[in-house]
Amino acid sequence: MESLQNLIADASAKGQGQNAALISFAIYMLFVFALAWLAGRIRSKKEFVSEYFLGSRGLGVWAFALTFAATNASGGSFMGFPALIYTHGWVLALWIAGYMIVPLVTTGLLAKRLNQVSRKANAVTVPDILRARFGSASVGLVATSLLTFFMFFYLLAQFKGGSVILATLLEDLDFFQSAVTWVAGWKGNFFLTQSTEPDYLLCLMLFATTVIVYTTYGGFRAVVWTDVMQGLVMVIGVMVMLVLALSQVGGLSKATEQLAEMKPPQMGTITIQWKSSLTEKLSIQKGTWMHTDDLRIVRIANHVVIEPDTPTTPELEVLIQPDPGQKVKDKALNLSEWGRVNITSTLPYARGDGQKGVYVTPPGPSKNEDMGFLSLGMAFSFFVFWAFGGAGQPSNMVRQMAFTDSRVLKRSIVLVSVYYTAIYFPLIIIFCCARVILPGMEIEPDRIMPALARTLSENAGMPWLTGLIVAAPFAAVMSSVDSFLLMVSSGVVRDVYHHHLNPNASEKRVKWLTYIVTAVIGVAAVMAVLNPPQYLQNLIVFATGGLAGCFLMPMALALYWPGITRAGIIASMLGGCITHLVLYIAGYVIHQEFKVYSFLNIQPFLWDIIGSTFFALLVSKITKPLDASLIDRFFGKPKQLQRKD
Amino acid sequence: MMSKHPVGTDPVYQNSRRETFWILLIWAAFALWVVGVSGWLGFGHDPDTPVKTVFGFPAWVFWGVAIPWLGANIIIFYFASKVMKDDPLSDGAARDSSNQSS
Repeated sequence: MESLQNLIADASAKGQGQNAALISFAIYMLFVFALAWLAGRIRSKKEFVSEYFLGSRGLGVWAFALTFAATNASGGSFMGFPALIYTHGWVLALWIAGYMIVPLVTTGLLAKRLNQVSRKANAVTVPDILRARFGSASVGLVATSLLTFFMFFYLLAQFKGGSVILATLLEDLDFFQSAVTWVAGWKGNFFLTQSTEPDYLLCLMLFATTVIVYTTYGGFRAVVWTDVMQGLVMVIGVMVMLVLALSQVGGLSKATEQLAEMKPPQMGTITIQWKSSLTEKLSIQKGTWMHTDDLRIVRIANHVVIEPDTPTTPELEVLIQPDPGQKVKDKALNLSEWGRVNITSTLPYARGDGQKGVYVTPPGPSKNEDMGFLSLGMAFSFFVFWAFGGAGQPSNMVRQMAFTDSRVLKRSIVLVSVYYTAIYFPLIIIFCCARVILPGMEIEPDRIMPALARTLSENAGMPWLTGLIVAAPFAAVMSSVDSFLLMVSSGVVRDVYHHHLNPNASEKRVKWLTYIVTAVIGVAAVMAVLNPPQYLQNLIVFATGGLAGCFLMPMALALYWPGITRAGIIASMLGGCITHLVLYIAGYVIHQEFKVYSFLNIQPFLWDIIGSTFFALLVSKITKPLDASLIDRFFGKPKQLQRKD
Repeated sequence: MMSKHPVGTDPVYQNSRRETFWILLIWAAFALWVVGVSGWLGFGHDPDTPVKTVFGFPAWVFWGVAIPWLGANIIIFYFASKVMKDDPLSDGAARDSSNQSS
C-alpha cells in the first residue's frame, strides 16, 4: 500500500524553480512601487486634474506606444490566447490576424482629431470631450453612466485573472502554502469569504492591494510608466520563450510536422477496480498519467481522494491521449499490480476526432462545434472586431488624448505595429510547439503558459528563467487593471462630482476625493469577485463589446460629422448599448446561459455598430441642429490661421 | 442654427478625414488578402493530402497570414512616415506652425 502511495506521489511530483519565480515577482513588485512613487513625486508639483488623469498630455513615443500596447494586451493575450492555440492549433493565426492592422486602425482613425478636440475642450476624460463638443451636460452624463457600467464588469474579470495567475505562480511554495493555511483559518469567520477558496482569496488580496495602492497614489503617469515596464517584460518573456521552444522542439518544421500527425484527444471516464481493498485514503493529483487495461494512456482531469474499503473507485474524469509519445508512456503509472483501470465512457471531439492534420489546417478541431473552431465568415468577423473594436475602447481614447504632438503619434503607430508583431506571431509559434512539448494540457488549458514556462526553463537548465517568463502574463493583467481602475474613478470624480455636483470644488478637495474614489472602486471590485462569477471570459467579451458598441460610432461621428446633434449623439450611445443588451438577452433565452446571440451568424459587435449608426443618423435628421458657435469651435479654422488668411 | 459655412475648415479635420479614408482602404485590402488567401489555401485543402509547409509554417499560414503581416508592417511604416501629416494639435502649436511656414 505504501509503495502505491509513493508511486502516485512520484508520478505527480512537480518541478523546481518556484523560488526563482517568487524572487522575480518580488523584484518586479519593487520596480512597480518605485515607479509609482516617482510618478507621485512629479504629480505633486503639477496641476492635479490634468496631471492625475492625463499625465499633463506629455506622453512621448515610447510611453504612448507601450502604454497603448500593454493596456490592450490584457491577461487574455497571455492566458486565454495561448490556451486557444494549444487547443486548436495553427488556425489561431487566422483568428488573430486582424492584429496586423490594429495599430493603424485603432490609433490612426481617431487619435489626431481626438487629441486636437480634447485640447480645444480642455477635456481629460471621454465624457468630457463629448460634453464640450455638444455643449451638453446630459451627453456627458449618459457617456459617464455607460462607461462606468461596462468598465466595472471588465475590472471584475481582470481582478480575477490577476489572482489566478498569481496563485499559479506561487502554488508550490511552502511559504505560500503556510499563508494559505493561515487564511483558511480565519476566512470562515466572515460572511463574504466563507465560500471563497483560501489560495484565491490570498492572491486576490495581494494583487488588489498592489494595484489599488500604486494606481491611487501615482495616477495616470504611474499607470503609464508601469505599462512601459510591463510592456518590456512581456516582449522579453515572449522572445525568451520563442528561442527555448523552437530549440527544444527541434525547429519550426519539425513542430509543424508533428502537429500534422496529431489527432485530438477524447474526454472520458475511468474506474479503478482494486485487487485488494485500500486500507487508507489514496490521493491522486490532477494531471497524473496512467496506463489503462486496454493499453491506452489517460490523464486524470481533477484531483481525487479515494476512500478506503471501496472495491471500485467512482468514475474519474480523464483525458484519453491518442498516440502518446515515449516520454508520456514512461511517465504514466502502471497500476496492474494493484488493480484494473478501465475506460467507462468517451466523449469525442465534434470535429476532428480521429483525424490527422486538423491542428495545421482551418477550421481547426472543436469539442462542441461540428463546423470546427473558426469558419471563414467568423475569421472575417474577427478581422473587423480586433481593429474597430479596439478603436472604440475608451481606454485607448484616453491615451490618444495624452500624446504630445503628431510626430509622437506617427512614430508610435510604427512602434506598436512592430511590438504587436513581436508578441502575437511568436505566441502562435510558441504554443503550437507547446502541443509537442507538453501533451495532455487540455485538462487545464488556461495553465499552459506558466506550465510551459516552467518546462522550458527546467529543460534548458535555467529554472530561474521561469520567474522572468511568467511575469509577462502578470504584467499584462496589471497594465489593464490599473488603466480601467483610473478610468472608472475619473468618470465618477471628474464627470459626476466636478462637473455636476460641485463645479467650484477646490483642487485639494478633488484630489482627496479622487484618492478615496479610486480606492473605494478597487475595494468594491474585490468584494464583487470574492466569489467570482462562473462565466468570466463571457464578462470580458460583454464589457469590451459593449464599450465599443457604445463609443466607437458616437466618437467617430462627433469628431468627423458636424451635422450630428445632441439628441443624435445620445441616441447613438444608447442605440449601441440597447442593441448589445438585446443580443445578450436573446442569447440568454436561446442558450440558457450568459452568452451573446450571433444574429445571422455575424459578430454581435457589427450589429451594435449598425444600431448605433442608425439611431445617430435618424435622430440627428429630425432634431434641432447644434449652434453655429460649437461647429465653428471644433470644425472651423483656428483663429490664428484665419488672421493670417 | 447650424452653420452651413463654418468660418474656415480646420486643416487637422481635413487631413484626418483624408487619412481615415486611406486607413479604411488599407484595412479592407489586408482583410481581403488574409481571408481570401487563407480561405483558398487553408479551407480548400484536401484532408487526404499532406499539408505543404514554407519555412516550417503551413503554406496557408505563410502566404495568408505571415506575409501580409510583414506587408502590413511595411505599409504602416510608409503610411505613418509619408502620408500622415505633421499637424499642429494645439492652438499654440498651430500658431507656431503658421509662423514658421510664413
